[in-house]
Amino acid sequence: MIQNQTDQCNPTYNFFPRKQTPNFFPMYTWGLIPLNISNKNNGIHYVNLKESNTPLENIIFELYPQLSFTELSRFYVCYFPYFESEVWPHIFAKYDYKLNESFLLLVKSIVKTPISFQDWCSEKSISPRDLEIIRFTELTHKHKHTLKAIAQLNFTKSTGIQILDLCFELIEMKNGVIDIENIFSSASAEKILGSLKALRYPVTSSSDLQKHDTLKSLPNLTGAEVNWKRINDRAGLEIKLHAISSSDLERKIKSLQRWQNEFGEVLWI
Amino acid sequence: MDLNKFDHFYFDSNEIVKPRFKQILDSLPSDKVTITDKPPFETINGNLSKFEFDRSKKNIYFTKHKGNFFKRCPGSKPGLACCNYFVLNLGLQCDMNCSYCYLQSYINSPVMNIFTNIEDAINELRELESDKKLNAIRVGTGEVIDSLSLDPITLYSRDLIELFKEFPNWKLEFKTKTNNVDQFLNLGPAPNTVVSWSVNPQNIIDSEEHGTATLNQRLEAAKKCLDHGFGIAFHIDPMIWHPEWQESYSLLVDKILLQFSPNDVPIISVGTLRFQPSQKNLMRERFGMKSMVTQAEVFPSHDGKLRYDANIRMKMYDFVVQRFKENNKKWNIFFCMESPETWLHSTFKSLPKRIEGLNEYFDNRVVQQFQSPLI
Repeated sequence: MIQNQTDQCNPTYNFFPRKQTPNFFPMYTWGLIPLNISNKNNGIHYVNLKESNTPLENIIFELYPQLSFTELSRFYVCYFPYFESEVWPHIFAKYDYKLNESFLLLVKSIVKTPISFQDWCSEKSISPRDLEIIRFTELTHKHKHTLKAIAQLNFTKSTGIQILDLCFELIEMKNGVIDIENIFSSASAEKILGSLKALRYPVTSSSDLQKHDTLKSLPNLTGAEVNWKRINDRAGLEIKLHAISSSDLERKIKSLQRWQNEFGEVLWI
Repeated sequence: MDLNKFDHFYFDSNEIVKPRFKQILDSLPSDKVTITDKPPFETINGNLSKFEFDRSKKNIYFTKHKGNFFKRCPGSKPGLACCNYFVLNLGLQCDMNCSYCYLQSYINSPVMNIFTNIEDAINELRELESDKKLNAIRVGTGEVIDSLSLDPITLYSRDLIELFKEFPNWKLEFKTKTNNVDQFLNLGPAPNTVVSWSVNPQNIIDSEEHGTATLNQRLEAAKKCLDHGFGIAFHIDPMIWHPEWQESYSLLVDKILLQFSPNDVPIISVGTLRFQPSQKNLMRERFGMKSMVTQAEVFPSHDGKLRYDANIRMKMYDFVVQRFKENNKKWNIFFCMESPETWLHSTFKSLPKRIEGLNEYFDNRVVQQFQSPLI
């Protein structure tokens, strides 16, 4: 392959994934478009892979086999002006993504989020499906604060996605009148999620809280642990019994029955 | 009907030889008509965007349906109490715009389809009759397209009503949110054709059911059908929770009670808001977070759909059932797409098959007869 002088290349390389190509790679280009950073030969020469007859999508995938969705989105924005539009569906397909109109809108939206959030998405392998709310949201200061907080507090994937959805919905529902900063000042992810759910689901949360308080006000159940718990669309009593023998179990069931007879009406109204 | 809301009409070139479609074509503004030998717009790989979904409501493609017309009602899945209902799709997509519409999780066609080969559907129906010797089935046409919204153009209702007159034990059900009934009224009486309306209080119609007929228009159309010898039914579905829901649904029930008796309306179904999690994003994108539907407090339920808390649903069901029963115990009401647990915990305290007046709608023998050949 002919090596050419890199100073002929145009434009300046501007793509920075978490994992660059190995140092021993020369600079590869597609025509005069640099595809990677290279220190080899002090970066003086480049190899034009357009002359190799290898499809561009294969070259990109060979150079960057592990791009996350957010990195691929940045790649798209960097290289969109320089590659034929027909090649993009093939490039995205290499990473198992279908490039359609709504996906493309998400790609263009995700690159507008704070880079710390994009990195969090990469680290936690967040899928495009979980980021869709970003696609149709005009990012305000409060949205950006949310995204930065998710990254900064390094939430788990599941918690981060829930917080993203809840915060974005609440910001729009309440016309931005929501104290996001204060919510994120809570000590734990659990408390932050709890506060957001109470705001997002006020009727259900208040009903659950009321049941929880009623239960607390009732005398303790001997030999069993009872909690008011929501499982999806149903909330109810969770009862934990620990019996060491048949007679112990019978005793505890009787005690449970007495408890139900005495307090059931208060709880189940 | 208002054709201005449509951007364009496409006709499959193979289908315009049929006199009915030639006639339809001639009645449309010529600058909005294209005769084509391939479907308009590129096939979309994956989910439709907001723009693509909205566009698909404004462009109609008249073309032949490939494959079988008959499908089983989605309520027949395990874990749901189903109502023995068969679905005949004569098109795909809806020209109205309800925020909760389940087509948002279902459709990836870039255009609204109207199927031109109703004669094949009718043949399938006839075969069904001769093969199975069925006593009673219900056939509905409003699953993936409103039964009557484009009927003033296609007049399919007339073919089906005429056909069902030959099978008095069968029931044909049109399901609509329009008041388009004048085109078939002169075929009455046809007691085994039931025209049914999804109804909601006017404040919900204004907020969530865009481009549909008003509540009064729907009830007036129902009255017309009744007067011409058609059966009628109402689906109070989906009930949508909002702070004033009791007041709103009281008004709705009162309006029905004022104009209709249990003899007029043999069956009323009630359902609360439910939708697939996969449609949440498109709903938020299309209707924002100011809609009562996108704001709804919904959670995953037994079949994976998002629903209100079970206790809230129960309160809503019981409220409506009691309003009707207070007026007259003869009102027959059933819950649509609900779990057996919901039935057991409701006012009914029983499963639908054990409730007098409802059991005929849940006859499992007919379901079993159909299950193997049709699924």
